[in-house]
Amino acid sequence: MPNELVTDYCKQLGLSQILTDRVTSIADQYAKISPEKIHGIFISEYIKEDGERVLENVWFFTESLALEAKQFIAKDNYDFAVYKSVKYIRFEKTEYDFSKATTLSRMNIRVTFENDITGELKASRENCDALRDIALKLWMPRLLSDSS
Amino acid sequence: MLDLRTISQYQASVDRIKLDLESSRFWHDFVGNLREVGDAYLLKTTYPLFPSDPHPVLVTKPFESAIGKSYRKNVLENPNWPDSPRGGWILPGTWLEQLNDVIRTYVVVKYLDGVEYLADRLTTYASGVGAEARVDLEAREEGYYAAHLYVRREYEVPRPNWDTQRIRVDLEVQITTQLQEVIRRLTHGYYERRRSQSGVPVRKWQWDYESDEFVTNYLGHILHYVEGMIMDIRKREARSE
Repeated sequence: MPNELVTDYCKQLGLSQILTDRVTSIADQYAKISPEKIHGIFISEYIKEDGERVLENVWFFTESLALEAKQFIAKDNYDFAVYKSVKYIRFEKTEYDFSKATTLSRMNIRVTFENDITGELKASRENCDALRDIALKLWMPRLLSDSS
Repeated sequence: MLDLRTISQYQASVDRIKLDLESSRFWHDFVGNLREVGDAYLLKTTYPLFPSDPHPVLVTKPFESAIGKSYRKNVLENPNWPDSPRGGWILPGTWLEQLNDVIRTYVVVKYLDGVEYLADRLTTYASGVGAEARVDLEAREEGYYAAHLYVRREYEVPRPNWDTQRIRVDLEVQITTQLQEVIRRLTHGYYERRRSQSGVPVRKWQWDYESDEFVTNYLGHILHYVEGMIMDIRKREARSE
């Protein structure tokens, strides 16, 4: 995965350089062990009632794998899941119409792959657009192919 | 003798210092650096440094407060009175350089260890860009706990004849915890009144349990202790993981 993809995404999210470096380092480590090339990234995060933004897990996507580094701030916990087809997607959202996210936009997606592995991805503010793109480009076409 | 000219010169000077600082590269980077420091702390501890995104605001010391502080330093807290205090009399001609808080800002952190962590990082940053920086860890009998970071820089201010001069002035950055900030807000007015009073109280506040001082001062100490305990729990939790 090109580092620019990671840095551009982290920049969009407003992450500091030190966190961007952490995410880049995880992407590099995944690249070393992944059987396929990484071409997508998403950081699951949410905003608490007191305004604090909590960064949970960083996801990377290859052609047929979803790679999740859980609690990436504190841990090195990397997993891989196959998502050749998608069985189920649930969108939960507020102040977001799948067009252009605002500062009030929030969206959670629950997705189940063909092997019953489930993922939960959370987004706030501008990150809702990134999560929408992943759902529309990577998962919705596979949902259709799975049901056909 | 203080006249309108002294007041307006003071106000023009602190306004100029604030404007210079706000538009400086130093301040821009100083504020921008907070985020990096916060995330470095997050990676180190897994806890957020700040309760919310920090947006420090610069405030200048009102003229009346400068008068009050110079009176405290020259008279109330001067052990040499009626001779000059150590460092000389604090007078309008030089007080912008002598008072260390004519311009200041506040940064609130979430946990007790964050106070020193941030102070150290900001000191390193300030020194790195050539500014004089020092930190005082304040722990007062009145239950006030905070780090005061002083960053000394040069500013151009008006002289009495409205020509200009370059002087070196401290920016005071008060770093305190969220809990201390709550108590500070609640008791700020009380401290301002108390500090302007002269003379030795008849009875020590530590024994006068019905006094305002007893309640507010000990609350400050208790909160500081609780914050220490929170740190202890955090460390125990980290060890058990």
